[in-house]
Amino acid sequence: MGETTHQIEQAIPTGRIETERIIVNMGPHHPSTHGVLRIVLTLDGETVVDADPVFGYLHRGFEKLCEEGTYLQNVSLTDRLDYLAAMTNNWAYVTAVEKLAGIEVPERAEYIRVIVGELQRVASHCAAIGFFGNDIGTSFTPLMWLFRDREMVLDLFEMISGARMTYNYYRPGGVAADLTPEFIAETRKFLAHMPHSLDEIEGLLTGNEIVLSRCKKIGVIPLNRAISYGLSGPNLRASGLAFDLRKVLGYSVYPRMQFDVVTGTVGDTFDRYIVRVREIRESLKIIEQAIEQLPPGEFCTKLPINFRPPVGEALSRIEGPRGEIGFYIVSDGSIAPYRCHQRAPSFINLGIISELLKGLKVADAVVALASLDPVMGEVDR
Amino acid sequence: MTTNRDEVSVVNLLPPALAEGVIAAKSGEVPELLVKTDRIAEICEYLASSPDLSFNYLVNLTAVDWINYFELVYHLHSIRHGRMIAIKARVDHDNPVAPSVARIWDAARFQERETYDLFGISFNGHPDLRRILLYDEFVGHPLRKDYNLPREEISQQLR
Repeated sequence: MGETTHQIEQAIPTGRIETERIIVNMGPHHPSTHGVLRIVLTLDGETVVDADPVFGYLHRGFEKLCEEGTYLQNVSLTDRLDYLAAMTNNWAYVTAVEKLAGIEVPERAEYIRVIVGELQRVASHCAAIGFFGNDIGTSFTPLMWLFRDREMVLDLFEMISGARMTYNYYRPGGVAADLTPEFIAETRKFLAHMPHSLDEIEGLLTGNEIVLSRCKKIGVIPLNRAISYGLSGPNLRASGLAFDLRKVLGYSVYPRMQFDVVTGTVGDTFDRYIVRVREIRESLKIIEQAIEQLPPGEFCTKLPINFRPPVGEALSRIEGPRGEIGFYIVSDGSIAPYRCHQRAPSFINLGIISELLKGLKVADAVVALASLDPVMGEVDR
Repeated sequence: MTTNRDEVSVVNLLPPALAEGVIAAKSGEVPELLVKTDRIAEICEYLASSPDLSFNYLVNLTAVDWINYFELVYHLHSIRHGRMIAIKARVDHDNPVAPSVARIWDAARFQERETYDLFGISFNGHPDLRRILLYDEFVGHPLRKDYNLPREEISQQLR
């Protein structure tokens, strides 16, 4: 026995153990990168020392393509930006076109846009919370429960637009089709079902000791950093600022709706999760009010197919599920935009990723990334 | 844009040294200032830090190719005062260089990189100016109006 120990001591070199920083590549093909995101991590043991994101794996030249297509054709391209929340992309784009061309939107169409937009927010947050749970390691149960609810919303969208993901539903001047009585009835059923479903999900996650210990105080974004990096949406609100474009700009018919702006306190990963959960509840309130107030009328202003806005430019700002979606469109008077730029919330939110991941353990880095809820479609465009 | 800059209230809130850097201004819901390119950083610094203006949130930073020149566009929002302003600056097509505002708003880091990547406009003082959406070996700047390579040339590049 003594002999073996002696042999072992001789075999192991004494003195300092040499360590080395390793560069590990995370992605682009990776279950936890929310699309094709690549982050080159420099690790010192388990701790992230540097994180360099690499984008472009989903770059399709959207902005260049928009210069080729007419204003109407480009709506279908906008679906493919934030593909988990296509309706709000559509909305931001058509709002910019309407500002540019001075197009009026009928009141009923505004209400339809709000109903559909808020349903989209619910569906998108379901996906965000579900994937966030996945990345912590809750292994699909919350994801599948939330996707069951998201399916209800996708069924509603299929009723009015014919599609489950790339809806092409909004139009400059309104929406492509009216809401049917069946849609309203099914939405009411969804509004009755969702709060209970959300209670079940919260029962799994919100008070869960493992979720709390993995998310509280991890990945804290101080408010001044959030503002400097131009964060928006739940990411900014989780850091404590009640900044919601639906209230700040009061666009569409949101001023007629009663709802609260959900904020966090610390700006940690848990706050970014809980803000999204509470935002779903607020969205359900808005949808209910919008259905009650829905007036009769036109669902879209009639426009020529190849209309020519006057020379000029416009910036639209919409509160999407991931943050502020903006479209900056410049017109030269022709049937296609001269320049169409998307202010993509996920692209700008990811600006903070290097700062956020530094100092975290690898496992926490994955969760912190998930809490920002990026979608690569709009990062790369 | 009107050249009667003094009618635009924001210009009056700038100290005279900076107001001199404003070439033209347009009033409206979102006032627009056309500024001299070399003064961008100073003017933006003042707009961001002055308490009366407090444009601490960079909403959007991009460029437009107008064939003879590029126009840089900055959209700024003041969280405290709840208003927005647009800053524009013209950059030469042959030598597209502008000062970076990344030290004022960190949101400019990625957006300036994107503008460099797709337009070829260099930003002096940017901490890490390299391509962001396209791969590093890519040749050319696709959002320029003169970038319209026929398909055969593009596939040659990729080979």
